[in-house]
Amino acid sequence: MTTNGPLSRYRVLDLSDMKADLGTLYLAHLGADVIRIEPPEGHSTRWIPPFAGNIPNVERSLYYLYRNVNKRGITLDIETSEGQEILKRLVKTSDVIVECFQPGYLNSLGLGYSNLKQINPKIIMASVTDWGQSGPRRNFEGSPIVAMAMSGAMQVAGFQDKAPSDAPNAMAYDMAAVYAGTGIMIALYGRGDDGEGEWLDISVQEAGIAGLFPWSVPMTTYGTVPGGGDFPVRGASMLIYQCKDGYVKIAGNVPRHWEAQKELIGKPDIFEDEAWDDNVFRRDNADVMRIAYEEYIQDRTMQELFDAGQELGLPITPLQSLGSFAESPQTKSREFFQPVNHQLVGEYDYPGPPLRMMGTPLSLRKSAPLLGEDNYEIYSVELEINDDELNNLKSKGVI
Amino acid sequence: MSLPLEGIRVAHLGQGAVIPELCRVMAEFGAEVIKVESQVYPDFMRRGGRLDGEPNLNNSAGYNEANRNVKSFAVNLRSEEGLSLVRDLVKVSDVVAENNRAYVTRSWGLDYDSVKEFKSDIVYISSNGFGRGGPAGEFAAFGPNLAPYLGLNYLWGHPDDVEPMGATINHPDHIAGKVGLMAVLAALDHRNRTGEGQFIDMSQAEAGASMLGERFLEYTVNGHDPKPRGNDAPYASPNGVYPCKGEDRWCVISVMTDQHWVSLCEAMDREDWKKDSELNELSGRLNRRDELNQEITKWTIELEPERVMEILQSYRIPSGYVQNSLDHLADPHLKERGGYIELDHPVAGVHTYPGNPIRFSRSKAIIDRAPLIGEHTYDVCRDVLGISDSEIERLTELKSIGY
Repeated sequence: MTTNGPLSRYRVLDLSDMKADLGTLYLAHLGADVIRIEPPEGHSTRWIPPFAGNIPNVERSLYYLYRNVNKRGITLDIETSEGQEILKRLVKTSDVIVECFQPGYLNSLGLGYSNLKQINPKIIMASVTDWGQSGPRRNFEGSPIVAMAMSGAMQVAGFQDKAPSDAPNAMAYDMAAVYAGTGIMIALYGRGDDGEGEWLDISVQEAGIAGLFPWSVPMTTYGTVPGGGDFPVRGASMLIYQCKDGYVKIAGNVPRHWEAQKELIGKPDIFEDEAWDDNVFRRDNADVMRIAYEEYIQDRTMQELFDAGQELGLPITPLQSLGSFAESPQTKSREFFQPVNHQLVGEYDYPGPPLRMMGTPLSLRKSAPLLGEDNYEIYSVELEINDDELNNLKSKGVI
Repeated sequence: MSLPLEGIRVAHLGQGAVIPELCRVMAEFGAEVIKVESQVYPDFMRRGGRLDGEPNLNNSAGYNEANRNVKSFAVNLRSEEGLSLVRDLVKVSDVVAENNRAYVTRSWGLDYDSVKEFKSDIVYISSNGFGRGGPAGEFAAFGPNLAPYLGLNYLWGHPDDVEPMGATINHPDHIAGKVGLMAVLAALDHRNRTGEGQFIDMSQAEAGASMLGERFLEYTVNGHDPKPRGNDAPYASPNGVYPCKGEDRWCVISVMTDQHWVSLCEAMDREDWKKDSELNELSGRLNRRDELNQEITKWTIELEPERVMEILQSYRIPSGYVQNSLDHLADPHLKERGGYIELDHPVAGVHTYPGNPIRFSRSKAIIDRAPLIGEHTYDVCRDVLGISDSEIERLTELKSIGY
């Protein structure tokens, strides 16, 4: 498979689930040949609603369609001995294998890191689990909302007088996925063409802490929790204001922002007191600021405030829906969304790679694979399994 | 043994969270990261802390967390000599990482187009709120702006909230740097093979949006602009946050499979639910989730959240609790794995910080404290830039360095 991305020489075997599929997606965006390996009946993420056109179908989960673009796909039952042999053959010619099974599961199939590195000492294996490979909770169960709660981020999500609020997707899982992708890149770079591989142990809880709210514990031990108190709580230091047609958020972090904020609202007398020049004081007195701002902001539109703020070098942003972000001139101008044609679902715009690499351009090259779409290419063409054997494997339900 | 990123030198012109955290991960795996900063115009994160009520540039929790392992090179970027030193640093670096507004690096003569003239194989990453180019390509943005802008704040809440709230965290502040790092390492690999450097233009808003991709397809494919759904998930029921004994204490429970449901009935001793055929399937449990959530609340409200997790995990049901920082500090699982570490800092003292979640079987991350401002100015001048002691003295007197 030819691609323009910088990683096109690398092959990744993707046995992940919701905990790492975004990480392998980024590797695929960067050009790696990512092969999604699914059980013959299809991966469980193919059944996450909603579906394209709201038609429940193994090929139509929006979740699966997004997270598997730029990947190839094969079916393989790794619980059969034939399936295990085929996986080992694939490992020989691969650089990376990503898995999210319970600790010890692949070992029990003879497919643990110690087995695979004997087949290919260069292999980098990333194991992404809810709690990591060690520690008293290593065999506990997990889920997206459990991961969010244990990351510490949910403690500060929502209103203080209501239940903490979960993110609108499996956000803590995605932190683990990105850390897995980053670890894989570090190991690949360190390995070079001839070095030894690594086994990467990613705990969703730890990645959630590091990726969402790493400052929570340090702020606590330093005693610099916004608004005081023993630990950060919900609803603190949020500067969201209602304007004429929606909401805006104002961020002011440096002294010149404070000057710009006063300028924006016409320099009211109340802020002449020098105490207001200290950003910690301002953070702790956000309620007073709010009242002063509301008067100015309520009669103006999101776009007026976005532009007026930027005129003064003040970062004010509109609070947009996903649709408004997708349709915004900036998003359109950068072509962040790109058309992807899926042979059953049709052609629609998908979010693409979140960065542009000028020397090795990235793109959306192909849609998510149909179930078993690349079986022929990989089994017959690349592994040179003959038709008789292939039919035999099919009849046994291995592929 | 050597660390995987040894031999890479990074000229770090960033501040805040995204680029510092990108650089920090590189440094913890062996790269030499030299952060250019100044006492007069410090990284704004250095102003975030205070101890005994007094602000101190060396005593900010956020800065000291985000800038571990890096070297601090204090340079006056408003002097021609200072700028010339930074250009010299770039000449002997592999990577430039920065997140300034575009005009700032241009005014320094340190934007990519200028740098590639004297260092053609540089890998140069710019991270901006809205990305370069387009009507907002030169706009300012900080972490708190991005979740509202990209649509996350709008969606992050309960359907009956009076206004959008989202979370106090500045997502994607702490993760966008890792997305950028993947690209930087891919570009370095490409450079090693071809000798070609390149410019990487990251939009932090797009980095956040790319983590909500399937929600965007609800709009582009199904024509439905998503609305907040609270703690409900389309793939699990019951699924949510439930109040427990104590003040602001909450557990979380997810019934992801029919097996989890049977186990929950057993754990809560609800034979009636088990016999209710409608509840044997996800669709039935989704339809009746309000009723189920009310009943579960009656059970959890009598229990400590840790106890709920203990009971339900013994039945192999996904469960946990809403942890705050005190819970993290006391968590035996995190403790055994080294999820948090202690670092001693000459000004801030001993504090607890998250470990590096990237755990390899062979290469272990080296974690060291954040630098005092300008702490490595002399070392960088002498060892990296090869400047003589007398010249260092002259530059210090001129306030071109150590400033």
